[in-house]
Amino acid sequence: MHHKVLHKSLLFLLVAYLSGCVEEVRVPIRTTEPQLVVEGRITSARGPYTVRLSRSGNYNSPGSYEGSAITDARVQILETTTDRRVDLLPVDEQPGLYQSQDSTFVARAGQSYRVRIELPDGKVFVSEPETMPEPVPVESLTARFTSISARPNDTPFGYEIYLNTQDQPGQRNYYRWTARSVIRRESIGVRDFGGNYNHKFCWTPVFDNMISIYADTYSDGQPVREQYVYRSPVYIVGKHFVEVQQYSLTREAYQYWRRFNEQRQRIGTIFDPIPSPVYGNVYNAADPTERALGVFEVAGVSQKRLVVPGDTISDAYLKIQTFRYVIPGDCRLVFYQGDEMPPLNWLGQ
Amino acid sequence: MKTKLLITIVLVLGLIGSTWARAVLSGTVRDAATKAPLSGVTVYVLELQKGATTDENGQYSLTLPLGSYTIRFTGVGHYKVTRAVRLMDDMTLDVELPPAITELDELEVKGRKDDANVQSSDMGIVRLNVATLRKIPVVFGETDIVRSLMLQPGISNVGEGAGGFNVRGGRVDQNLVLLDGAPLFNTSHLLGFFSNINPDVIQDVTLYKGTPPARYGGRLSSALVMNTRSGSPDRWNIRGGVGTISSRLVVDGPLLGNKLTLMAGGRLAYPNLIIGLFPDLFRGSRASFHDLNGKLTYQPNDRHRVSLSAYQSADRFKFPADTTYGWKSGTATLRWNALLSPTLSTEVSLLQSTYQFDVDSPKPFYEFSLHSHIRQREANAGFTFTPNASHRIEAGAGYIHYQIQPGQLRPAAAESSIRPLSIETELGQELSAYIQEEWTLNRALTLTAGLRYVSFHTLGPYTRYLYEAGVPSSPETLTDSISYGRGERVQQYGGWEPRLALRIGLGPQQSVKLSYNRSRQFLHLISNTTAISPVDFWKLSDPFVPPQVADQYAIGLFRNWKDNSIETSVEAYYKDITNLVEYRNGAELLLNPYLETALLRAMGKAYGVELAVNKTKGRLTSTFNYTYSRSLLATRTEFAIEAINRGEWYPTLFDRPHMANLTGSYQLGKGWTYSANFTYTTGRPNTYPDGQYIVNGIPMINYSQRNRDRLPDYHRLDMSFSYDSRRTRQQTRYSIWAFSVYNFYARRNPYSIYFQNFRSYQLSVFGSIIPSVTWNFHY
Repeated sequence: MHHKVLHKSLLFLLVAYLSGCVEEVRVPIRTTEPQLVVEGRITSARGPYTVRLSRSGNYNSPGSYEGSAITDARVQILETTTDRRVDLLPVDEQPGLYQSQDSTFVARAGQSYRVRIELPDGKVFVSEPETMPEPVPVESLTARFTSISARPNDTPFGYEIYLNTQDQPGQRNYYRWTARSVIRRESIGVRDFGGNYNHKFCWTPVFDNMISIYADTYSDGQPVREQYVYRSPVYIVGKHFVEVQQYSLTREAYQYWRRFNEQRQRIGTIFDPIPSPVYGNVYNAADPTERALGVFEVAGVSQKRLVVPGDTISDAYLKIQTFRYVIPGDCRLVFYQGDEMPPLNWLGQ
Repeated sequence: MKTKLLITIVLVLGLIGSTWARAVLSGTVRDAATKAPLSGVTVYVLELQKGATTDENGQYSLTLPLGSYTIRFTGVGHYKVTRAVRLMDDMTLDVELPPAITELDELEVKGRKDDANVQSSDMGIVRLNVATLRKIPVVFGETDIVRSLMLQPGISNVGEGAGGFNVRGGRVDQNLVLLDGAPLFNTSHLLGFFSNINPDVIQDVTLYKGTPPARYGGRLSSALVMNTRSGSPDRWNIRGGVGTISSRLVVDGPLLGNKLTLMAGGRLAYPNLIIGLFPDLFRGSRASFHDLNGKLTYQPNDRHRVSLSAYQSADRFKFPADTTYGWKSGTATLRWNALLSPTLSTEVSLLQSTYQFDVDSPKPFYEFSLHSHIRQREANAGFTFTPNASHRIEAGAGYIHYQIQPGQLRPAAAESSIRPLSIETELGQELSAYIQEEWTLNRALTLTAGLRYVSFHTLGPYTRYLYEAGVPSSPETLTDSISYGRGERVQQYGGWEPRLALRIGLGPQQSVKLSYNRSRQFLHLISNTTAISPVDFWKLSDPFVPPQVADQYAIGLFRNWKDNSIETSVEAYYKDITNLVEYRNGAELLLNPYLETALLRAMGKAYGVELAVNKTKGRLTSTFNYTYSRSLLATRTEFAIEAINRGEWYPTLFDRPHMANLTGSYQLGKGWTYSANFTYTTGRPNTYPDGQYIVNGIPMINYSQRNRDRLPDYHRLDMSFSYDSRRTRQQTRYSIWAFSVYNFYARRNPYSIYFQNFRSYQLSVFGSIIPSVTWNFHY
């Protein structure tokens, strides 16, 4: 239960009903000190484990934070229960991203981990050591076709993916789900000498960045049913290869994402929670009052895959609605990581 | 020499004689039309320039030297009545005041005696005339007591549609709102757009902003005292009104002879009519609210009166196929008033007040219902002793029992995954005793000195969690717990609360007044949103949450001009508050069994100057007031990491430095009155974003400094024409029509500013001109 107790829509309704009106305004812009932003995660799955570092910029001046990646930091993950540690090295193609190289370092549930970040200016940021929760297996995934658009200007069709799992009784469990799918796309293709268009179809991975979380605070030991985790967009007829990760979070990480979502869902009524910075578990080791934005997650993880046959939809009807998403060029190049072969053995071991 | 001595002896004997040859003049003051007793009526002896005020039962008592006097009775919304008496022995003088019709006798309508503002030691008191409220222009034509208070100096709220009100920089939960003596824990209908008190059943409204009488306690900022009318012992009356949002009906009259009377009234709203006009997306939404009042009064004779009054208010809001929200208030009061002797009266009361909210969600597999309530039961006894015109002594004692269920979650279907969860019920008791003396030393000096003692206990069953020392407490740092049994005393708080007021007269038209008071509050509204909402819950003081304590100092200068037709005043105050409840950033409050880990302590200070000019006589009456005030807050915690704005002082959400109100009313003749209000306030503090960053590919906004910014200024002009069909004072059947226009120049006042996709939008409520018509009838 996400107790947004006063339903947001209810409030908008009221405001609209009482002849409210909305207009765009300008607000004063302040210059603030850039703050460190940490996005990192260590899981019970094999590495590589990654940490991304950047700095915040001023509000409404995008130039001030794009390209604010921190590239010269020293990043380490420490297993505090055993004193094992692993270095994370910069990934050249993606400035600000650090990745573990040592494949023998595998994290385990029950052990405690922290990150240590030494910035170029010598400041050291660390996270609070947190014990990795046990992963909880996903029981099943189901898909349901929908014709309600998730985003404006995008395909109105999609498969909504729902998850079922069994919560572990007698303990607090905090869940987060991420998902991706590989779907079929169509482009105009490349014309060969015979006048035929080739490379019109390919398979491309898609994902969204929705933060989907759940706590068993009010449903300990009960099944988690019909939990919406992902929407796989439908452009043309074809299979959907869906993969869902189920993370077991610490309470701290769950609280971080809860506040993160709360911040994003602000709609400006006087019943919104009072705005505040969303800090996670990373702070300056020498001055704990200096805190980093973002979070370092220590999470158990399990995974489940699903293949949606995708053959129950009328191709002709779909095409009328989605022809505008057919873009010029070689399918393999115009879509991210386009591949003419579908993924093999998606469900097999 | 002998002659001189003789004269002296005669004079002294004469003085003593006059001191001893006294008699008590007492009686009851009633409304001439409804026969309801009138409280707060000034009974003034012109020859002695001394007076008294009627109590809640309309009774007064004056001890005077034997002689002939002219006694003047003046009450809010009534014509004044003057009577000549020859006092040779204790005597009773009952008086009926005709209700005022401004049109008929413009010079004679006064809320109180002409120079009461200068002559009494009262400061920071607002008395509303309920009868004239109908002529004030209001939104959707809904006459609203709480909204009308906003036109008074030092009173504000966080915005249109926000519930409650803020007095002199205090929080909404720091107002003691009493309906027939019972506290109301919520004053809102429809989330705060309207207040839940039906003005048609209210007889008198008094707001104490400064030092309240010693019998009131338990809240830091103010006491808003409202009493309902009693039924008429002579005839049945029906009054009511029809408006755009709601309709009202009140009946009153005698039941058995004229000893037992009944008043019953209700209001029913139909906001769905407007919702029905809305786009499909909203179709199926249902809002409704109603409130009911009833009062039975038994008065066997003029010395005894027993009344039983009850109130209920309920709201529901349902979103289509989604969650339903419901909230309810209820009170019941049994009061016995007696005039034991001409100089001694008593009041004993038993009362109960409840507030509850319920949330029902039908989400498949997660069906739940959430319930929360607060219940207060109270017994009070008080005495008023008026030995002579120079002294008035009040004393009494009270006991309160509190019960709070902060949150109870239940699955609402057999298949629901929701497990039952119940936050421990909070219990507490509060004992208080007070004594207050109003001493008129001479014409120039009046001292009101009160002292109140209060003792509060948190009672078991109670589970006290122990947390690791040296680190901020959280469910992770929980080390142990202690359980207290039923009725066991967990924690005690309390102390003395002085209430002092001094008036120094500087001539007949001018005085300086000083006051000081201390107050304690054991009950806290837990709310981390800009405006309070109906699903905020209350919390009692416990080992983690000490009472809020405030000290308020005030000084005022009062002066009347031109035969008391123009009143001016300047009041300045300073308030110092400790142990305010604040919230950690991102705190989770509802259904949190470790609520203390989400709370912080803060200290507050508020100060201001209130300036007022009232023109009270003539066809044109008007008031102007201007307030400069600040309200600030600073968190106090041993862990710098938790502090808000690094522990520095920052403005509260209702800090509005400049506020001004201009109201005027002009009698056009033939029953027509034109009224207008203009109101201006500085925009409320707000938190604007000052940083942006990316996490998980999502652009995020950062808000690093709370309440550092402000919304644009608020101002608005409202107008109304009202028509009163009365032609004589005695007329009992009449109508009042009010045609009002709210927000005349359609200013889009900011309600909030919000941020989406890195653009800023301003939301306005009532951002256009809102006309309305209301019909009120008396039959």
